Amino acid sequence: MDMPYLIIAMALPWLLGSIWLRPFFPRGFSGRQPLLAGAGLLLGLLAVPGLMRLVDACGVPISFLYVGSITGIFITCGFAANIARSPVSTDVYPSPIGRDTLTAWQKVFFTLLCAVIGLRLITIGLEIIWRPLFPWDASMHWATKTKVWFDSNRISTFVDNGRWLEMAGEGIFTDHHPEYPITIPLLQVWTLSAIGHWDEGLMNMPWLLCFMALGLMFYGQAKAAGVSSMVAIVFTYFLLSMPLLDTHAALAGYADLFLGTCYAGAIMAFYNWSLKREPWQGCLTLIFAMSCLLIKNEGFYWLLTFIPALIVVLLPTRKAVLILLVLVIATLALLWLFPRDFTVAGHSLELLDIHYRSLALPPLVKIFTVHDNWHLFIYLLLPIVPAGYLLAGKSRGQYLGIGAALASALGLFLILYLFTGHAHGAIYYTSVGRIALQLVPSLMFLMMLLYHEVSRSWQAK
Amino acid sequence: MVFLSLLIGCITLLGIFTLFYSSDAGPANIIFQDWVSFKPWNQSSINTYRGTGSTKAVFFPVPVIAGLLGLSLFAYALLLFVFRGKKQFDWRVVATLTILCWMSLDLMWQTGLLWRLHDTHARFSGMEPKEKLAAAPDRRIFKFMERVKNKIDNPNSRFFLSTSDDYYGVRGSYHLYPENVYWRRHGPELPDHSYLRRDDYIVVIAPSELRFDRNAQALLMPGHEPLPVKRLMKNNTGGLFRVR
Repeated sequence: MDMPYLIIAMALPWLLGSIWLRPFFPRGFSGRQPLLAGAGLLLGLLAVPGLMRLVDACGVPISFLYVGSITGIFITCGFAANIARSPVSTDVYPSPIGRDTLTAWQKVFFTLLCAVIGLRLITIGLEIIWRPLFPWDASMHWATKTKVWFDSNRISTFVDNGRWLEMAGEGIFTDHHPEYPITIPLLQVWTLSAIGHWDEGLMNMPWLLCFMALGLMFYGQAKAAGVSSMVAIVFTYFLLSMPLLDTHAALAGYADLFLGTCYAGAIMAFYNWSLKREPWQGCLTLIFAMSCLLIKNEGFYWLLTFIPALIVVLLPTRKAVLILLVLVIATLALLWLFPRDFTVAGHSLELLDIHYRSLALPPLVKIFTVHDNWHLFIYLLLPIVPAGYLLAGKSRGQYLGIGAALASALGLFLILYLFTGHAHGAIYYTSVGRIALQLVPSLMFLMMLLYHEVSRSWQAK
Repeated sequence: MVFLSLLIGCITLLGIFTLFYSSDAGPANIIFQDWVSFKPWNQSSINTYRGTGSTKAVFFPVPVIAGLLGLSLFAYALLLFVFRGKKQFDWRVVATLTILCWMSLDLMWQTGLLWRLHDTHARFSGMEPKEKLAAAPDRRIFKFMERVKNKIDNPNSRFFLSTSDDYYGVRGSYHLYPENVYWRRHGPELPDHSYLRRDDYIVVIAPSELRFDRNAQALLMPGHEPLPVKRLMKNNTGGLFRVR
């Protein structure tokens, strides 16, 4: 009985995102269809909560009837926009990449990998449907809001414990993290309002969609970057087979998968934009990078990583290095001068208590090299990335932008766990894997590009 | 060349295991059994996946398979040296060895995922949403909160959850929503009494530092004045009180 409504609730965001992106994607470039499907799906998943906020701001209940109708209107407008502005033809945007043909064995292997990915999707999907909400944070500060908003059909305010007491709880609610962005619980409310009753399994179906969006975008952007179908599908399989990523989809309820997908969506689009400066890739970068702010507080820090990336891409090397140096010194000076209680994206210097924590290093190494969170990811990343940069020769410059962004992100990640109070998240193996999950898909994309570079330069010899 | 390299890698790895790990059942067998002894999802599953059944495992699958990949690549390099002039370096051999090693890890992971799915299916499939909650790992808390909700005569009241157990606090408050719930993690179990008012509900889940004084009809908390309450419900999980 729930299934038709569930399908509609899942299809509407997909249609909304894809229909609005379609006119801007030039025809005929390699990887267009999977990229359109993946980026459209992610955009739709981000847009629907936005519409819910809009509806709520107008004083209208955030029920499926109202939000679904508005989504339908936007989809209809999208169809009209498609008729008015058909996708730019390849005459204007010639695809630099020829279509690669697969041998019979490669076709078999390609199909096998698609089947393995399909099996993974089915396994995760059934786990989501059958299991009620399970993981810790999901019931501590994400689904608490879902319950209240689904029950009242409006977005009530959540405040911290102290403020709730001061205001005697009149018309407001409290939970452990009232300051977190509200996109994730709104996605759950959207699904629940479609099926019309509380179901802790079905409300998490957007996590399966997000997982699919990540895979589709990864494959599509890889193809758009000129990577062969075989290499693209192998690395897509590598990405979607990583245990911690799969776990975050199967035991849905945390925001890290969404943040990792948004950041990867932005990084991949940024790389392809830096190659050809196509406006539509630039727009995708901007949309997905800004969306990081809508998912979790740390999204702000991942957004900042695009500053060094832009400097490297837009300025000559010497000037870029100079500005980056000035930026680093300015950041250190600001850290020195900032009041200790000044809070940025939920973190103050006082809380961070910056000094080196040696106890965090062994677990940090262990979660990548010993535990099976990412299969062989780190063992491939460590040789491929330096080899790729060394062997890239004249094309090295094209990897500097994406490299600057990811090096900054990795630097922030290491500072967070080796130099701040968050080190306990590594020492006790709690948050460190989850934060790594936000970066691993993007690092996998860089690794694939550099593998492509290494194999190409080797074959050229 | 792929299979020959992999075979040499496997034999070398087995040799290393035998040196470090002597057993009648065979070292590889014992290690492999540990890798495929799957356990149901638990609260740490979302944080890290070790890849072993035992918490005291010596050999973890990732470094072992990474070692196997390294040994196989080394064997391939040796084979190229032995057959120099006849065989040339082939990039596809390196790629195939890498994919095979990755897939061997992933095969164990997929098998574990299917095992856990079977476990989830056995526990929850065919149930209505509420029946699932009544069968979930925190069913005791869920059922207690259902009883609490049935005792409420004023749904607009405020609820204060008191427990010294973190997990019960998380799940207890979660099951109380969409009521207006106050639960402070890592803080005093109840706020200062000046913040409490008549007809507020206090839900206590054991263990808790709150004690009910039946004679005085009051809740006692160390360092605070007795709080006059009426007890509405009590069982092994906890109790429900209304501030007088």
